[in-house]
Amino acid sequence: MSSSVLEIPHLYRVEGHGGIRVTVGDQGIEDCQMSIFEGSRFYEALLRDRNYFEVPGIVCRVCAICSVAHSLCSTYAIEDALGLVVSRPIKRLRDLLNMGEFIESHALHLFCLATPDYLGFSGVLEMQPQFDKEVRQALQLKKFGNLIQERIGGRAIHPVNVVIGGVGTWPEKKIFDELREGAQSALAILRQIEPLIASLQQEDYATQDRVYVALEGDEDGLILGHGDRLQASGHEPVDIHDYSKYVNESVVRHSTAKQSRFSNRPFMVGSLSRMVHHSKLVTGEAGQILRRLMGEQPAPNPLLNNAGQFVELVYCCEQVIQMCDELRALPTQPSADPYHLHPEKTVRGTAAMEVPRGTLFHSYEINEEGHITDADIITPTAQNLAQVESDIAKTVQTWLDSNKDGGDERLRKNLEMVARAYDPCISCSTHLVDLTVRAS
Amino acid sequence: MKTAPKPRVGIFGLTSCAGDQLMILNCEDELVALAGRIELLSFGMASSASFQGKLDLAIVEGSVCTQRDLDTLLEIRSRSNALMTIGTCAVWGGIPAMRNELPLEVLQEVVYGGKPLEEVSLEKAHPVSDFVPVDFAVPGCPIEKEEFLRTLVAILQRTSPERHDYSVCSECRINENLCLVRHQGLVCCGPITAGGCKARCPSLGIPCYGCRGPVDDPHYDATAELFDEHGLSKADVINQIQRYSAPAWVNQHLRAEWARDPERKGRQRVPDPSS
Repeated sequence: MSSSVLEIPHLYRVEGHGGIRVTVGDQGIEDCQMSIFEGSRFYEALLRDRNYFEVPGIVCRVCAICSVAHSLCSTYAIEDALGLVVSRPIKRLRDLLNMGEFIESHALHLFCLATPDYLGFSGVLEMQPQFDKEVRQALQLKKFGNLIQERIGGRAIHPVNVVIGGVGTWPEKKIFDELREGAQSALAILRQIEPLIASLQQEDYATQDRVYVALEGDEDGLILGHGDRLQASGHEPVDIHDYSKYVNESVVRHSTAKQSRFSNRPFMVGSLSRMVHHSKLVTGEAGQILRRLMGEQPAPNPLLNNAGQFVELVYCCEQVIQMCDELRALPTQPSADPYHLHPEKTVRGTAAMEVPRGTLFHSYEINEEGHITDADIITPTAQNLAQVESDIAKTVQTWLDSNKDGGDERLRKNLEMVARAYDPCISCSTHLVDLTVRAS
Repeated sequence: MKTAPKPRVGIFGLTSCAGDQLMILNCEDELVALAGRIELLSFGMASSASFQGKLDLAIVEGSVCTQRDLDTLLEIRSRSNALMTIGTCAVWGGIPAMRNELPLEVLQEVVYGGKPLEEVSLEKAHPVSDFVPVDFAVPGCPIEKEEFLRTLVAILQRTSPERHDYSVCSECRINENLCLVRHQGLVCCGPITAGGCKARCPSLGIPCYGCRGPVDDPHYDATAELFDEHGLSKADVINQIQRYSAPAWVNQHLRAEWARDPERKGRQRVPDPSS
């Protein structure tokens, strides 16, 4: 019996360092691995004994693209531990900041990282001479997302204006006007780019049934915010404080990131999952585009995650307009003092948010000195890894069933596209806490 | 007339959050023009083109945390005429170096339950300069867009990149901010942190935590005095500056100073004229 190994040692055009290894024998697929070799930074260990108010500024450095996500989610988790609920203005301001990250992250990923594959280019700069207008427009979208993060968060990468209990400095009214106008321009660009996105062919080689997980919409009907309850296909909703009962993680040798299962099955989080769970909450222009690009019941094809990202770009711009309308009418909120909120005994808090790649969980334990005694961060990419491996196996099977049509080159390309469709954020995925070793 | 060949540039990331590479991609207006001035042969984040040949300039982000990082770094240095480090991780060790106080076995136990992994971590997280000579260094967490572009253009034009040899404090004064130490009794690393960020955080009411690394000639004693006068706990001060601003030796220096002289009796204090 002979086995051959096909390896993509280093996946380009994703954030972080990972690869794919597939072993095929006479009987079929023997092994599929998404290997994560991003160096570990041991976040959970280095957070111990730090003050609770330092946490957002440290954990946002888990990842640059997702820095708002970690900064906001850790802030909500610590507020949960301390029994704090922020005011509506602060909630809305944070929602707006989250929109900024979504727009920047999706614009970057969809146009600069994923689309080159569909069009046969090795990268966005190679694409630029032939698609000059589209590339410039994509960069303008990305710039708008960054602008929101700069104006509201204080800086485009690693926000500084997010503070336990509130905000550092409330933005001036003219900023909300500026961002509202920017959202109108962004929508105009998105309308022009839609034909290009609609033309991208999502082939079926990885299509297979899957469990989708996403947070329920919040009190504003926002599907991309902070929430308390988790929806999973075929399950009753789950309170996020019970996440560890359902989201089981394991350490695998070939990965510095852990893998997750929902009640022991792989599952998918991210844009496609949100489109499947929340199509009724996606109204307006985004709703129309959802139906045009993905249909009433999107097929369980991971490549459709890219179409979902486009819908969410439109959704976010529409949300920015609504949020700015509300925020500009509010009085200036005072600066928060996060330094004197020590609990009286050891407390634990958990928070979950929808962020560009899916559901993010943060959980912290704080003692009466205000020091972190335990920390847990579960990123969407880590949650997706088991499903990615399953989709990789399906892709290989499809290829074998077609008599290896297109040879190794075709398989390699398809595997990369599947991995990229998830928009993996590998820097994020390499931090998680202990659990059982997965049986291989 | 023969035009000079465009410099061959590669952009690489070791263990990092990719923030400095992302900041380069954030130069949306300049990116296309930049691509015309250089031959960008390697940029894993943006392109699958994988170039293995000689480079005029290698730009490296991230700290050296694993054997793979070290092998990659040595390989890049061996085929590059010049090397620029970008970001506080590459220049000073950054956030990954916060774990250097704890032994590796303890870290592996806490985070991975002691299970062996294929990826081998080094005992400590290191700045790039611990292993290879560095020609240009642009600190920041993340880097400032303009500072990076100015440095790169200076290199392309064969002039000297400017240096920021002033602290964040100076920038706070230019902004006419109220001092957070004096007025709110907060631990602020402004006095010992390299300027260039226009005192972004203190201007928003948030104390500086030194993400750009130490200023060239930090006056740690004077800074310690300043905090001491405001009754700030030494533990808090050490904790705060340990994050980025203080490479391990500074941290040790301060701990040793305060251990030797806990009451600060060795210091000549000017008596308060009003007392």
